[in-house]
Amino acid sequence: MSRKRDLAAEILRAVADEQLQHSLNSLGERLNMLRAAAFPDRQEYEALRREARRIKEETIAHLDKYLAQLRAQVEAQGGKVFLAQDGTEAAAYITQLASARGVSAPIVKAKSMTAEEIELNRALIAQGLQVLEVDLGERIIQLAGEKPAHIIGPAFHKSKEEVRRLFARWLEIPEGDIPQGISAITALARSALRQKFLQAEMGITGVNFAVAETGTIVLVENEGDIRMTTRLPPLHVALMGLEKVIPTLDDLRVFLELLPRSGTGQKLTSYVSLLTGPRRSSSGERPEPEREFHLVLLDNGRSRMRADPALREALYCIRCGACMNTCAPYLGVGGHVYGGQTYMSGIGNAWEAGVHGLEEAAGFNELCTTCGRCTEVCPVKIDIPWLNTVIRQRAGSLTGRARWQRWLIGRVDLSGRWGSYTAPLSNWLVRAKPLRLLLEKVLALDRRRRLPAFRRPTLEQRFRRHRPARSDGPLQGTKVALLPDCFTNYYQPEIGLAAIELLERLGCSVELAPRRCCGRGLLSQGLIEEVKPLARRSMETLERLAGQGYELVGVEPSCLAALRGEYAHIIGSKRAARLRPHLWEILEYLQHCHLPPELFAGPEQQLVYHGHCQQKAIGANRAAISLLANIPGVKLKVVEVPCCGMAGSFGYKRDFYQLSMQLGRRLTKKLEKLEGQIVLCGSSCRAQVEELSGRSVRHPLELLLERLKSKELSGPGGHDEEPVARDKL
Amino acid sequence: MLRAGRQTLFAWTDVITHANQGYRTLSISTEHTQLISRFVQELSLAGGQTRQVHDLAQLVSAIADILRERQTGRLLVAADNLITELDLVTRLRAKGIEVITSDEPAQVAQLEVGLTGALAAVASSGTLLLAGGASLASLLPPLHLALIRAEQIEPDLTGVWPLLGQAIRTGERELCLITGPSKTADIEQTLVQGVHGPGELIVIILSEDEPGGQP
Repeated sequence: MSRKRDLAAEILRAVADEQLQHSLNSLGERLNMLRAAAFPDRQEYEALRREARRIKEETIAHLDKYLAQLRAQVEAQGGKVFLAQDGTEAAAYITQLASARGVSAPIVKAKSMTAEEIELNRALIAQGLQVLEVDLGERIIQLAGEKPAHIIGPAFHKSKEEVRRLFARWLEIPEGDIPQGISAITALARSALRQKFLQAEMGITGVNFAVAETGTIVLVENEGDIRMTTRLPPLHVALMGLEKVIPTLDDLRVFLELLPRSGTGQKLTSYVSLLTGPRRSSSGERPEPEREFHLVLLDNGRSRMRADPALREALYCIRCGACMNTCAPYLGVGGHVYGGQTYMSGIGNAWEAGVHGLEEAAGFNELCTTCGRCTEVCPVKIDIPWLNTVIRQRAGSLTGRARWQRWLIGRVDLSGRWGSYTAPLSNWLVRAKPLRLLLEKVLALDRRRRLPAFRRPTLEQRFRRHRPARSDGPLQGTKVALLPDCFTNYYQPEIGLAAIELLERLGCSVELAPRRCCGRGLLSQGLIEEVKPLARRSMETLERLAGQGYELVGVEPSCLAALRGEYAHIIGSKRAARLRPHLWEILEYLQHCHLPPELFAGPEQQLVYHGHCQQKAIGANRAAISLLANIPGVKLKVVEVPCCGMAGSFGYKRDFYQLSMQLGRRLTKKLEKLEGQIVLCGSSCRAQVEELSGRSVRHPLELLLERLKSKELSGPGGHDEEPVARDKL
Repeated sequence: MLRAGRQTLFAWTDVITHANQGYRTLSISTEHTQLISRFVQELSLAGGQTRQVHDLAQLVSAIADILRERQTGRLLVAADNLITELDLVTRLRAKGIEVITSDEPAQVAQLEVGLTGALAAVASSGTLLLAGGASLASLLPPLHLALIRAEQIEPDLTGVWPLLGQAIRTGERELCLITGPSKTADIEQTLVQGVHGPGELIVIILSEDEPGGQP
């Protein structure tokens, strides 16, 4: 519990830190834009990702074989290989090596997250060695006595003024003598470190990839410090996690196409070094000392991760940082707030669970909203939200919330049913102060957050009285079953009804599928076992409908994301894959039907759109945008921020309330500049933006329906609405 | 005439000759013009510059001009087959340039400009593939000059991969793919060139497409 309180306090501090917020904001904007621009060809990107994934699966499946091959190759080239079970063994080996070679000048050390993981510097310094971080960002972090705040931009959060102060202390010169310009400060670091490179007797680096077939280690960088570290001192030690091995040079090419582009949007970084064994001593007039290369293979929990059916996938990570750059909570608080020993954000939770233990991961697991946008940008297609859901399940009450508390928050179907049944009394109750205090105390739901109102009648009840709109629209003969998700059914039935009418006016014959909670709410709480019975029921119903020729169309992206995403883990990937072609988000479905855009032609109207995270994660966002953008008369403005900040129950939680509002404000700040109707596909996005902007927010399908209707009214003919006999599903 | 000239030049090493066999017979002019312009464009996006020269005389004066602009008369030159083939060191010395070929870091630490060749180049990313012999000259001085022949430019990474693999398998222990100058964005996410490695990279492309361009 104490850990939990600390997290909440640190979130508040981070949200209030203007310098940090500024840095995070520009980090997100810059890197996401660069990454997106670096993969203009989606097909090529997907092909690369599939291939990278295949290579990683193969390598980790036969890890011992490839490590043995790597060891044999490195040794054949004259290098030494040491397998360290943990950080202590790795540090001991490196210390002994340094003392055996009489290393007295500071060791130059390039950036390595694996070295951070085992706190190598601390261990070496404790043995009386001097270690100098030479990557500019790591140098700043080392001087500040901090940990990296980002895996590839460790000091991105530091202001120039802080850097000047730190450098003044390091170089023992008055702060006034440190130049003002960033170029000049960099030049100062360059010349100070250059001397150290030239004097160094030992260099330590990490490893990005190690090619088993040739014994080549590969290092990816922009500054040149890794080249200096490996080239200048006569002794080079490379520390690599076991998972960094890849089978062949051809495999390396695939990863070089993906890593820099995913990380910084560069086609290639300035330098990619391929080192095979110790460098040959130069044959000049003055012979150099014998050069040595030592490869330290680090296990430190990786074998355990490999044996773990869930965490195994984390070993595929190539540490590009794309998941963090796209992660809304990360971009709201930065790396330090996560409080893990080394890793943070997206894939960081699984790594902390693997190398530092479940408790470490539990401390920040709930900062993941499991929205799934990171899976779209992960170059090896790691299902990060699922990993984090599994860890949430395993962590249980370590995260600060007991199972029954999670269950109460997660059973949105039950709370919805009872709330609607007793509305408006229920609405009065949940708005009353005493109950809000109770909800905050018991379920940690922030009392400042406006709760959505329960609605009666529900969508199901309304549908019973609904008379189908008759139409000779282009989708005649298509059977659609609309999925009444809990959010639409109990909180926003009019959107469900609008969806039905829209589809009917387009010619579909529409039924309301029997309501089956998909279990999204429970999944968000990590209650995987509890979802299973719900998932089985949902699947049976949906499979039956699909078998009867219905297209299954939903309006709530988060529920569709469960059906199309997490269900593969819960009910089996083959069964889930069979159903998948029938499952549609409504705008995605309309786009798929290739409707003539003129159908929705009408008066000039500006729509302001922001994609729902899970709609992006399931790949339905692009379809929605192109559907809306092509309608004659519609001027579509797409606003890009990582997330509205609500993310289901995330924004309701007391610990995350301020963070949620901070993220939401980044969105509304952009919305403020745009006139027009705001349209959002997710119920929680709509709630957040309505609350923050005070503007009306609608589902895009409502606008489509209005445009369709106004056209029919003004056009010739029109339809009488007649009741039609309806089969019960 | 072109073909004969290229054949002698392609005889530098087994590695290069073997890897380029497929390309020797291609009609190069339009294909290479496109590759050159893609390379120039991509390298410029990565922060590097290019100069195109069409014969040896132009090459020598381009190097001399660059040194003059930097107000230095000294040049660190890495061992390289093309540089040897063109007898470039002699020609530069004849221009009054002091050429240093030392492989010892302390001796070359103060030099302003380093000249290397390259094993190959990649058009799609503006990348050079360098062997270990070029490591000091491409790393320590603030300006790295690299000399390539237009025919060495491959369309993409896949194109240079056989050559890279062969170099490793035949004992090249240190290879580097270089894409633009050294850079960092570690302070306030502001891009700065030249933090540890060279802040400037100029690739001189020797293309003999123009008549009379034979060395």
